[in-house]
Amino acid sequence: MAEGVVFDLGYRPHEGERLGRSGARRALYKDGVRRVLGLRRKARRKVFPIALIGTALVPALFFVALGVIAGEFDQAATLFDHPQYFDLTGSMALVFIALASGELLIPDRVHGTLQVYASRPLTTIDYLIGRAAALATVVIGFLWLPHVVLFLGRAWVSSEGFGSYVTAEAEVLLTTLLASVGYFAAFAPLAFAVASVSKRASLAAGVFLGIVTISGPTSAALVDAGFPSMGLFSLQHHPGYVKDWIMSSSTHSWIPERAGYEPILSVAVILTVAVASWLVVLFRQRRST
Amino acid sequence: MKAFLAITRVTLRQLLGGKRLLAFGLLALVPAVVMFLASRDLTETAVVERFHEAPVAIVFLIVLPVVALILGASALGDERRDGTLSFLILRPLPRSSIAAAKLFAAWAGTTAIVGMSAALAAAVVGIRIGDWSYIAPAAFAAAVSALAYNAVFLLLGYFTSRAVLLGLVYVFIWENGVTFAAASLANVSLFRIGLSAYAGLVPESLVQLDEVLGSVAPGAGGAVAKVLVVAVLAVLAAGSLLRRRDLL
Amino acid sequence: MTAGPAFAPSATIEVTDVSKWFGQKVAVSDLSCSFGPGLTGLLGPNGAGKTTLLRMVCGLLRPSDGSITVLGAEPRRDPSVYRRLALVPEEDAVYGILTARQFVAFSADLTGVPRHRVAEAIEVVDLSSAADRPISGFSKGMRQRAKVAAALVTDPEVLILDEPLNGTDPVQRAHLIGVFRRLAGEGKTVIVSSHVLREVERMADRVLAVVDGRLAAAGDVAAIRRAMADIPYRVRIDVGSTRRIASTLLNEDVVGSVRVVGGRLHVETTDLATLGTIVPRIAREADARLTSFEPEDESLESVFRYLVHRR
Repeated sequence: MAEGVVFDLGYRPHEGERLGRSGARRALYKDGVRRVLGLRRKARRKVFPIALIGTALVPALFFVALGVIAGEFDQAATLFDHPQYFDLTGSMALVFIALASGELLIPDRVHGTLQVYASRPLTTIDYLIGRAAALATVVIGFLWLPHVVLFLGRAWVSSEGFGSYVTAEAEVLLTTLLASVGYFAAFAPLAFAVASVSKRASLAAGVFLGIVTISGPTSAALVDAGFPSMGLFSLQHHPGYVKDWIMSSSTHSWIPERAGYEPILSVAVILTVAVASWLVVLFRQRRST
Repeated sequence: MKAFLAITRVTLRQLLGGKRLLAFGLLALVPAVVMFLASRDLTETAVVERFHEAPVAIVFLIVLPVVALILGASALGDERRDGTLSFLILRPLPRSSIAAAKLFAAWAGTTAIVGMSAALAAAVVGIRIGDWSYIAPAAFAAAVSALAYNAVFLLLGYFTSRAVLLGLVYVFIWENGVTFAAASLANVSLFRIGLSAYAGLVPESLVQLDEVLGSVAPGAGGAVAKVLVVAVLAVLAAGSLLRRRDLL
Repeated sequence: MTAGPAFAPSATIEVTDVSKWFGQKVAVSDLSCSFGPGLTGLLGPNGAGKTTLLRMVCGLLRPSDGSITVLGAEPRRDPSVYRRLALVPEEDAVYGILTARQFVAFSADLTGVPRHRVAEAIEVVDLSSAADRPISGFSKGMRQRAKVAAALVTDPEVLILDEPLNGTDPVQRAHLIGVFRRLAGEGKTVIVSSHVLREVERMADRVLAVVDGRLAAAGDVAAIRRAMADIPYRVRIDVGSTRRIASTLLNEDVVGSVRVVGGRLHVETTDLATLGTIVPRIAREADARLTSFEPEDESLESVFRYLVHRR
């Protein structure tokens, strides 16, 4: 009779808690944040995100330091107030989103690891929300953090006292946060949609940036030529117009404004583009899994 | 020659296959559409002025860099990252001829798209006022600048998969920002090489393009010489890379 | 030194004291060998340095130390060598947008080979029925065959194949092995790197085993095994009166151990030849019928295992 023996090599099945769908979502989210920031990856993967974040943060830190050292926060000495600061960081957010969207969506599809996610307690929606949440965390954080720094710096040197300033001006934190969300909502869904139909992250980034940047001068030329409705197609200007509306400021001559549209219409355009983009992403993602 | 043309053919198929050609084609049509809609009911002089504003700006500041960067950076870089570069290297061909074929393919693709874009926008001038003389200079200028972009980004694309992104940052911050602020820096600007060629062939455009050109002197001959130098240096450098660097 | 089993007579490829390191990692260490006409199997575990060695032979990597010549020239300095050398790489590096025919034709054009050879090369790898389909839709085995066809179309004198049997089914594998053996028989230098040890054993005239970047063994498989004097042979013996024969064998000096499993004897010995004379004598004296005497570990698989694990 044939003999058989099994040797105990020390393997033990997992007998601990199984985290289920929420655990899978959290893991996906953390992985997305790491990918966007290049964490736990080679050093060169960190260069671009850290450079962009640093470039966004450094002016704020510089002016806070200046104000603190001077003992007062002279408005005239501050090159950027909150609304103007978005004009600087908004362009960077565009580049950041272009870079990150491809990195989040394309490798899984091209390298065939989507099937790995599909075999876990994650739906397609979970996957996309996880990826979007990771990008939102980093981009909104990147856009909002300089404003928090500026706000706290002003509070620090305010003659009213730190607490009084914070209480009185707390609304600034909310409006800058809303404006940051606006920039994210205006650009990220479209970037995701482009990434969902591309096989290379560099190509997706280039096409996305091309679409957004061409929309500005094209709409401007057509609005000036007597086609005001083309003002709605200036994708690059809508978030800035909405930001000025939220913050009751006027930093720029925005194309939708020149075309005679109210900011609420820019909000509607942003939401429409976002919804349409997400439908494209959902459709493509379902086809890929 | 057969090998050179074979590499060019396959590279063009890689660069312009599938949805890429459609996407680039749509992008390329935008200047012509803008010109057509923005030039209604204008005088002859105003039509020409209008052409030298938004459409030329869109072609040279957006369509050209985006297309040229993507094609230039992909020509050699994608082969390296896909692992197919060894297929080309293990051939009895001078390395610089492989690099030259790649550059030629990227340039041909870029010129076809961007040259068409510029030509179509210029053709609208012909439709409006019967003057078709702007087509050839516009297409020629696009071809000149395309070679410069393709050459530089052929090299950058070999080194990094983020060449397109870095290139666009260069375009939108350096070329569209810094070099406009400091006229003396205009000489370190690739799109201005093509524009200087255009201005040399269409002197009346200098009225609107002079500020954009900054310190760059108009002239087709000078522009061609500059881009040929850039292209030759890029081909030699790429050939040296292919010869010396390990292909893992 | 250029004599010994590691060195082929009338060598076309000479590897002399070659080392390759990537930063702190040494991939190939002080390796000398040569390859000549015929089929040589290159074996080693993952990360042994086989692919690194092959890529250095092809000129894709520069040796950190030592030198390599192919057909008398250094490929990195003299690309004309590539008219006579072809590589089928391990990685799935094909142009998915091309059909198999276009891919092979591209290879022909790049090497300056006439186009009529394209159909022949496709026929040799049995890809004619799928030749006009895009490679992007091919299975892994079909991609492998397309790569082999792209190499064969150039009619190389030296053909290097890195894991060419990956993804192929048994029928395709047998067919490809036949092709490689035929080319080797025509006097070409064929080097096959593979983990499919049984197939390498069947097709290779000679084997080089690389472990941890060093040449661990070279030559004929049986001769390599015989050279491993410190590792006892294991022999399986089918004989009647099993237990009686077993107890008699235990008295012999050359026998290290005897196990009886399912009516068979499994014997360990340091001297296979002597055991081969002892066993028939003992069986005759015991009036037992000896039906088989089979070394269990002269296969390439066993040799390979010993080479890897003894380090």
